[in-house]
Amino acid sequence: MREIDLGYLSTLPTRLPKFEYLEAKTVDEACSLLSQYEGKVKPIAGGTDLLVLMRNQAIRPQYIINLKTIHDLDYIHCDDGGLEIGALTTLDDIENSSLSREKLPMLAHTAHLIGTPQIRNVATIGGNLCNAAPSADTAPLLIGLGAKVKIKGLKGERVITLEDFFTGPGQSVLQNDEILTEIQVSKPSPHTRAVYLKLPARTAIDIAVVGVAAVLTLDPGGRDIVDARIVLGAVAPTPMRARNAEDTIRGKAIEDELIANVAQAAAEEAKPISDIRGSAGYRKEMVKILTNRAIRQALSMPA
Amino acid sequence: MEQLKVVGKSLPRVDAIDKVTGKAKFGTDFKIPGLLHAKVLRSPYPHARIISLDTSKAEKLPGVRVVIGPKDVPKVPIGALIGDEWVLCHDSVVRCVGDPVAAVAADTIDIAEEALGLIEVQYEELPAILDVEEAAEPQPRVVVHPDMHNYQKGYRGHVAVHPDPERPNVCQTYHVRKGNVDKGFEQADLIVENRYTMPPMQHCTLEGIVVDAWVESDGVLTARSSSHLPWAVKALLAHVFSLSPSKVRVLSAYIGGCFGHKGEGRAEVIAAALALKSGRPVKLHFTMQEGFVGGGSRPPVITYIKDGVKKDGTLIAREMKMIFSLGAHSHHGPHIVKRGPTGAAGVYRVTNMKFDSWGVYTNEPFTCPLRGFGTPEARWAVEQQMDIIAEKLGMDPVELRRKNLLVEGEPDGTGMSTRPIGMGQCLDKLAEWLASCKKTVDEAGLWRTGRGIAISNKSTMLGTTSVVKVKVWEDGTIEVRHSAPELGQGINTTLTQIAAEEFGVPMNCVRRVSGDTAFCPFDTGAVSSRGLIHNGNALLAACRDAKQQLFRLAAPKLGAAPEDLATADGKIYVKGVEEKSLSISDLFTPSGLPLQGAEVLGVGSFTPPLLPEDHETGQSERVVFTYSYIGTAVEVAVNVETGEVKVLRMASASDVGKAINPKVVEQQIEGGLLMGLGSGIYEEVVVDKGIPVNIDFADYRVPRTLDVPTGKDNETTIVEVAEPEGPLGAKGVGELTIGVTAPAIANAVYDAVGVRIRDLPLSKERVLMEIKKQAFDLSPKH
Repeated sequence: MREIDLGYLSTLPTRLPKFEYLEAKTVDEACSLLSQYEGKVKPIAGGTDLLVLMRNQAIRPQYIINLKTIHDLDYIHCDDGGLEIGALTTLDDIENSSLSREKLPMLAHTAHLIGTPQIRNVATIGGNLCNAAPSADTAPLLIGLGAKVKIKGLKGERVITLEDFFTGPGQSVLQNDEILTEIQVSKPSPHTRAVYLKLPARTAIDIAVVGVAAVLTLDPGGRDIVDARIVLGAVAPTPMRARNAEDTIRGKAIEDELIANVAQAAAEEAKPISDIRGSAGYRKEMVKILTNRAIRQALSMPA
Repeated sequence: MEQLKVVGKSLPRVDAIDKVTGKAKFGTDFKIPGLLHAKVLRSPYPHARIISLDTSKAEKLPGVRVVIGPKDVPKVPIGALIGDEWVLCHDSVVRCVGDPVAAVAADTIDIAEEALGLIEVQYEELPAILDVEEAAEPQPRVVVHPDMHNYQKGYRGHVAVHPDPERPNVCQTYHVRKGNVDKGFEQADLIVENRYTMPPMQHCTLEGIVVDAWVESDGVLTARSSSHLPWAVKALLAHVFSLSPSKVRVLSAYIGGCFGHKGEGRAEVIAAALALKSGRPVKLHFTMQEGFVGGGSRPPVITYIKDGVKKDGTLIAREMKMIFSLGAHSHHGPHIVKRGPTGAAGVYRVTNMKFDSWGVYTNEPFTCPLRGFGTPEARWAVEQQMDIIAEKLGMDPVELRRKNLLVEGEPDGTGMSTRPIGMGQCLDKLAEWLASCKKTVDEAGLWRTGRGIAISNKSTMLGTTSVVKVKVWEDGTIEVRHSAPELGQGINTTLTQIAAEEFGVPMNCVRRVSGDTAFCPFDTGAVSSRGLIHNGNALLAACRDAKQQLFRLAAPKLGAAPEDLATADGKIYVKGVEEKSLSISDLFTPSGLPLQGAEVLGVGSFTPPLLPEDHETGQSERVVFTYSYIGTAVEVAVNVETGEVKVLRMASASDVGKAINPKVVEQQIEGGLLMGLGSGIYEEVVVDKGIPVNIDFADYRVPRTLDVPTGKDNETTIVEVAEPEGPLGAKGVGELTIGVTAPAIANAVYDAVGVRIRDLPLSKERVLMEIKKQAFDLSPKH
């Protein structure tokens, strides 16, 4: 069950907690402000997650740094068939830009599954990742595609795999002076098929109770699975790769029993909790169902 | 009846343009000079004793104008039916999460919030009783109100209260006895016995509870309240602050939805106490979360039901027990406890009945009425029983219902003679719709389809009053002065249509004055689907009174007797000799005075008298004013892998007596059915150890456009079987529509996948659990 702070429950505030608003014009400026107010500051982009947390007083930052005033982090570039996506790109742009629709249609589709048009118009892909919710919808697919993230800080720049980015619920490897600036997805092999499926908690637009990405690379003949990534959302402290499931399918020829075994393996690996959106047992069962469906959908996709 | 010109037409709502252009004013739209903003400090514990309460730091914060604690407010109970609740906890014991402890008024809401944080309260937690059946035992672990038997009657006190002397937490009991159920069960060929539950549900009004309170220079305490019971708020404020009723005035703006949520006066008494102490106007506006915690939800209920049936489908015995958890403060709850089973004693003919209903105190959060007042709770059980019986007997569910349907004039379970009933026509419509459904061929797929129906009545209570005045101005404008709150149900429009019809004028010749107890006449309030019936009847009487006054003025001028005159289009004419006419303005002097007397002002009132009912048996000549009826049929798809339930299509037929404005009726029907869909599949206030945890719209989910059938997939049919005592035959439709969707969905899910869900809502997980016949591991818990 969700913990409600008793102080919060007794006052049920009308207003956001007080904070001071700062604007960053450049990435460097953002990094120095973050460093300067270490421990008392939160960066904001679309704010669709941050403001809710502040509203419920789950966090009470003294300073808010607006990143949307940085002008050069909102882009989708195509390089060598892969995509470089600026962290401030909105989910709506990812859903609707011709570049992402052409190069990574499944990412465009995944962006469409998040919230409502009103949310997608302001929410950014960088925010979706940096909020580090176990249920973040863009994470499983991007991890499955082997995406990397560019991180800038006062000491310089580093690029790591997204898989290594998350460390716990709401936690990532970002240091106090760092921001995520870019998401990089290399061009998938022509034989790669990627699918992300989400079971919303209740109504159609809800947060995921379970999300599953299946990214499968077939041999040129389309019979054997050369490589596979199965990535689960909302069933562990971070988005997680179901490595046993991946091992089960890698190098094998496709058949019904294999798919059932992979789905079962993924369900067993998942480490969900019970909360208001679903019990641990239901989530495990849904991992099995969604993994099975995601693999089948991926395999049925045209090359 | 003569041809109707205005009534019965789907005319645009009179306030539609003001609402969509933002001109219509709601409670939060008023700017008052010198306004203070209030916040309330509430108990975070389900049961605790206050050891100490120190407001001194809060009082010293600059911008804070007044802080009140229990010592600063009158120790006068505010409960409607039982005096079991106070403005702020009176005896240093908080009995539920959300119980108000102190309140602040400050120059800004930010300062008020900061001040709340400076109030120091030390609590000693007490054992809490949360399970309603445990609380109802003769010797419960915790007695929520040890002094209950010494409590005063509630300030409204319009409903008799019968606590159970053997069970200290049972604050209300109600019984219906007809025939002998034991004999009935002996004669039965089939017995079906089950337990059904409904969780708390939240109203989710767009506008939160809001009140502005101030004291006028003449000492009149004035409150602009979002309550659907403005006259009850007036009585409550006079009662709590020992004021003469003439020293209290209540204003109503447009109300942004209500459904029973805003009538308990909990915000009004606090705002008034702050205004009286500070001498300044005070605004108290509950946040959405405060609506859950400090407003209240529909009381959860457990229903045990046992039915005895003959082979041919005749219902011969029904035994039913409903246990309502009213939380720590009963307010209007004791009335809900009565009206649920009363409604269930209607609809079907059952030779032998034994109904019992309990209202039970627990330390669960606040409850309050929610659209339907016990009826949806009863239908959730009864309508599934009917389908279970139909299947066991191999009967068609529509035919089983039709066979047992009460007919006009037949006494129902309470002994009341059934008033004109259009349920048969409604069933015909549903049967037709079901026949048009094609059984889906792909039954091997993951989505299985099924169909189900449910029917319901909804009562309108007796013993309430509406008074309406009609003033005729010298230019022929008809002014309707009434106190029916406009909370989105369209009462302004339907009353305008009735007045326009009576005077034979277009809608724009009628204007309304409402929302002020200082100038408008009495109305009990927007409850019990009574607004149109009562205000409509009072309005008709007021129109006729005003017309008589006009006719008496016109008679000498037209050389005819008053009774030979009629009016239309602003003219008064001699019936049958229409060229003998004069204009209404001819009856006034150039300065606007009528030719005789001071003004043309008609007055009408309507009060169907309350008749006695026997407490032991519930028998009464007439237990309610009348019933409206509805039936709905739904087609669902159920995913056998995930348990997801989708309502694909739905159809409904409603007997509303006479639709004054069919579009308004349709909107009520669709809104109610979809609210019912929410309660069926999504909605539940989850309470963990007395704390409501999903108190926002991220985790308390209401259906959205994507989740509901619309357009041609949501067919509404209006059936008009006139209620002889209703205005132009009309009955109420507000609450009728919410209670049928959930049982219809449950019946359709059974049809689709063969599982019977007896606990709401039909969440994915619950449905899948039943399909797989296994419980899911609930650990580890977060």
